[in-house]
Formats: sequence, C-alpha cells, structure tokens
Amino acid sequence: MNQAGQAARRRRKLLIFGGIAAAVLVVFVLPAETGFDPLGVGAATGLDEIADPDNPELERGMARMERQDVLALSDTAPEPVAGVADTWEYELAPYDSVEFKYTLREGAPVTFRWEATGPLNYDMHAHPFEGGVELTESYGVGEAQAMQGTYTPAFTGEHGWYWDNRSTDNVTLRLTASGPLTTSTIYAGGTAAERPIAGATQTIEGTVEGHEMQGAAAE
Amino acid sequence: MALAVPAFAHDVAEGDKAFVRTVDGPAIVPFMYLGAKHMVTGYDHIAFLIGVVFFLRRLREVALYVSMFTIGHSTTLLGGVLLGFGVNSYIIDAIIGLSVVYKGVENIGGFRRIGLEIDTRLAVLVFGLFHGLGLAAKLMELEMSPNGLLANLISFNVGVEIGQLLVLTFVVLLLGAWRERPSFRKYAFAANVALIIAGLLLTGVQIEGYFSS
Repeated sequence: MNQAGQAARRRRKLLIFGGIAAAVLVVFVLPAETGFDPLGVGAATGLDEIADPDNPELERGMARMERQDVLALSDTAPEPVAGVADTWEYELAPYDSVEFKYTLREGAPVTFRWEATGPLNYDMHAHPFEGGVELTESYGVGEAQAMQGTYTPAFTGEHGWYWDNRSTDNVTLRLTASGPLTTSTIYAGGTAAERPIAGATQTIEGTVEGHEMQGAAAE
Repeated sequence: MALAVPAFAHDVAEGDKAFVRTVDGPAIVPFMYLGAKHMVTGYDHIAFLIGVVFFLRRLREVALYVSMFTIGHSTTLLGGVLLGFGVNSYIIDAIIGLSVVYKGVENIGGFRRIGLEIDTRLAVLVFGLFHGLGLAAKLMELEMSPNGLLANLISFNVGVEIGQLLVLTFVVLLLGAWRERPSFRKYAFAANVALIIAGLLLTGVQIEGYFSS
C-alpha cells in the first residue's frame, strides 16, 4: 500500500475511534457524571441517578419541614436556652467520618452551633425511637464549615449530624448546644458509644433499632 | 506518603457510593456503567493488562490471555460478593500490585534468567482471581441492597468486561502502533521496568495502608 493510502487509513481509524469515544461520552458518561442528558438516555436507563441519587431520607425531612418548624438556621450564634449546655470537640483525620447524636424529646427546642477548621460534608438528620432508621429524616445535606440555629425535634429519638472530612488535612470540629439535652451517642469507626452529658438530669428511654453509621462504607 | 494513601487506593468514587447505597432493586445500566468506570479508571488493573498484552502480536493470543484473566476475576467477583468473603482489601490490592510486578519481570525475561518456568496462562488466571477479590471487596464495602443484588452484580461484572474491552482496544492499538517503530525495541525493556516500579509502588502503598489502618 502506498504512503497516501496508509495515511488515509490511519485518519479514518482515528475518526472512527474518536467518534465512538465522543458518542460514549455524550450518551453514557455525561448523564452519569454530571446529569447533563441531551439524548435522554440517562433518564431512560437510570444512569442520571448516579449523578443525583434519590435520597428518601432528605425527601422525608423536606416534607416534614414544609409542615412544621424543625430547623431554623441563624446568621449569629443563637442565645443559649434553659437546660444543659454541652460542648464537644472531635478531630477528623483525612477521609475520616463521625456521627454525633443527641437524644431529644419531641417538641423541646435546642440551640446549636458547630464550626470546623475546614469544610466538611454534613448530613443533619434524626431517627425516631418509634420506627427507627426506616423513618430517618434528613434536614440538610451539603458541605459547610459552620452551622448554627435552633432545632425543634419533630419526634423523640436521636438527632444530630454525620460529618465526613473529604480533604487531605485534619479538621477539628467543635459543637456547642444547649437545651433539654439528655445524653448523646458517638458513632465512629463502626461502633456506637454513649457519651453522658455533664449536668443532664432528664433521661429518655429508647433506642434506634438497626442504626448503623451513615456512610459507614466510606471507611 | 500516608496522606497520599486515600488517593492511591483505587476505590469506587465517593459520589458513586452514595448512589449505590440508595439503590434498592435492579439497576442494570447504572451498574454496568459503574463496572466499566471502575475498570477504565482502575490504574492497577490497567497496568496489569498492559503487562499482559505487551508482547502479544496476534489477536488470538490477546483473546486467550484476556479470557484467562476474565474467568479469574469474574469467578471471585461474583462468588466473593454472593458468599461474602471478607478479605482485607489492602492485602488484595497489595497482591494486585505484585501481579503488575510479576508481569513486568516476566516481560523482561527475569524468570527465565533464574531458571523459573511459570505457565503464564495459569499465572494470569490466578492473578485474575485476586483482581476479582479486590473488586468484590470494593463492592461489599458499599453495602449493596440484597434486593436485586444478583442482577446488579452481574451487570457490574458485564460492565467490568466492557470497560476491559475499551481499555484493551486502546492499549493494543497504541502498543501496535509503537511496535512498528524502532523505538519499541529500544525502550521495551525500560517500559517494563517502569511497570515493575509502578507495581512495587502500588504494593508498598497498600502494605503501608494495611499497617496504618
């Protein structure tokens, strides 16, 4: 074969493979990675769910917040309310995660503020004692370095946060809260540990059936 | 080095984990996609495949070795998840690193020189089994829902093969183009030494990760 013929063949090969690559990108990769779905293949096959997974807990939490006041975030640190004041500090190694929960009674507001030395992925959520993890409600999922406000439990159970450090730096987290706190539980490294609160006199009996740390698979 | 470990450990990407955890029931195409993505972005698997096909000229040979690899990793991927083998993924990933070292050493004639006769087909099959165990460990960490598990698992496996085919097409074409040039003879040895170093690096990082976990 002559030189020109070879060059033409090579160019055609390049065009074909380039075309296939571009098609795979538009039809499969973009819908799955970004949710951009010009041909609708992502929606038809469920690929777009990878980019934007359904989160039934968050949907339940959002529906709840339309019915009643649960979480009221504020710009300034909230005034402490009557009851017990509590402070908790925790250091998250790179790619480490922790979950912290207060056991709270329905309808009794607490104020809170947490601040970290770097941005953290968080999921603020609650599990009712009646119904357990099946009825978990999320009130906020995202990335932040601080969050503060007043929280009114929609039910009696465990209420708190899951934090995930996605950076390569150690991040120190500091949480303060006040109100009718009873006890708290820390879920870290796959185990749950109860953490009593100094000065707390009230107790609430109950446990969350089948609770596992959110994102435990991230370990 | 310790800080670099999470970046080196070839896991299922963070965002994809959230997806897998929310799936309840069969999701054929998404799991195929995740399987293919895992292979296409999995440098440890790719490095091994490069080693395997480095000196293979004929398509029949490529097909033979790749089939051995596929039989190996499909067996342990499906079996591992369904039977719930709990193997530490650092150890598996270290062995996967060693598989890259093995192939590099074999390609430069290292085993022949010290009088060791290893049946390459068997070695590729055995390392395929380990690669599959690695995939199984990654999937089990995701706590897939038992609802639709088999369908999703098979989809993931099919996706892995599609991804492997994509990577192989690319690698075989590239190696084929390079082989025609004089620089191939000159640098083939260096390229395999580079593979060995990459394999040792992967192994070291995983061993370090094992002891610090």
